Amino acid sequence: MSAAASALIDLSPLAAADAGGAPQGWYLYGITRRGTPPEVLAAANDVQAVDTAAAVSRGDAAPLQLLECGGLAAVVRPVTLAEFNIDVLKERLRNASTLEAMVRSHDCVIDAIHARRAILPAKFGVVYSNAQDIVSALRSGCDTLLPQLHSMEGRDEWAVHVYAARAVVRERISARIPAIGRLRDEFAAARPGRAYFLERQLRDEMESATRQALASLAQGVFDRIAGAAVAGQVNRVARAADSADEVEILRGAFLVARDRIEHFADEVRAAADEGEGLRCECSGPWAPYSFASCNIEGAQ
Amino acid sequence: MSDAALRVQEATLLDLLDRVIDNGVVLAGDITISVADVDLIYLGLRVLLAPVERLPELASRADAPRMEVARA
Repeated sequence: MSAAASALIDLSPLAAADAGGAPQGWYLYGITRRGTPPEVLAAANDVQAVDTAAAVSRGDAAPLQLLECGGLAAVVRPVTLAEFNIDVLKERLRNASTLEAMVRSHDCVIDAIHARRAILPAKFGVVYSNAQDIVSALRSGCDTLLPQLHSMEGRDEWAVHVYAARAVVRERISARIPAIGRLRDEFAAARPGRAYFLERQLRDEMESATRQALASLAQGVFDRIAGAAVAGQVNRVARAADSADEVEILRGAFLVARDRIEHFADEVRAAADEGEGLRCECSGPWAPYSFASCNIEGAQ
Repeated sequence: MSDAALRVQEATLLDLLDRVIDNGVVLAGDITISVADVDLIYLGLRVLLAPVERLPELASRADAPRMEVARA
C-alpha cells in the first residue's frame, strides 16, 4: 500500500488501540502544510524510529501519519503507550546513548521533511493520548501556525559559535586600557605586601574589562551576522565549549534564506576576520527549531 | 554549494541538543508524557555533555537572553 493511503487516517477511533488491543498514543514530530506529498512522508519514514525504541528493537515501529486540519498537517507516529510509561522511560533515559538515539531520531524525521517542505518542529518527546486533541489544537492554532510555517518556507536554521583567543583579548585589553597598563607597571616594581594588594586589584580590573570587551565583541559579531539573516537569537554560552586557549563568546541561531546562504557565509567569515583572534564555527542546515517555539491552546 | 558558501560541519551533539531540547511547538491536549520534562533526561544529558556546569543552563533555557532581528 502506498504511503498516501496510510497518510490519511480515519479519526473515528480517537482514543485508539493497536491491533493487539494495547492503548495507543501519538508521538508528534512537527507541523507542516496540508497536502504533503506521499514521497515526503515516505522519505521521513525511512528514518529509523528510535523514538519508539522498544518497537524498533522488535522492528515493528508504526509508519508516520498525517493528521490534517484546515491548511495544516501534524506529522505523528502511533506508539504504544506502554512504551512511554514513566517507569519504562526512566529506565531508558538512565542510558545516555538511548537518550542520544531518541534525540537523533526525532531530528532525523523532522530533517527529512524539512529538506523537502517547511516544518515547525515539535517539542522533543511529547506523546498525546488522543489524536483529536492534536486536530483541535491545529484548528484553534491555525492563525498562529500557518503564518509561522509560511515564514519558514525556503529557510534553514544555522548554528554559529564564535570563539575568541584568550591571549589576544588579554593583550588588547592591556594595550587599550591605560589604567591596567599602569597597575601592571606598579605591580612589577612593588614590594611583596603591596604587590599582593596590586595583584588582586589588577585581577579584578582585568576581569571586568574582559567581560566588557567580550560582550561588545559578541554584540558586534551578532549584529553583523544577523544582518544577513532573517532572524537571529543568542543562546546562552555554556562553559562547556571553552578551552584553555579560547573562550566561546557567542552561540547563536540564525534563520537564513536558502538563496542568501552565500551572503550569510560571507558575513560569518568577515565577522571572524574582522576581530583579531576570532574564530567562527557553523553547523546546519537545521530545521527551524529555535524559531518555532510556541504553545498552542486547544479549542475552547 | 560553491566555495563561497558555508562549509557544513558535521553536526555536533552539542548543537543538536541545543536545538532539540527545550525548543519546539507544543499543542494543547491530553499529553501522556513529555520526555523533556522527565527529570531523568537531565541525568542523561549530564553524561552526554560532560561538564556539569551546563545543566542549570539547560534547565533555565526559557530565561535565555534573546536578540531578535527584524524579519525580512
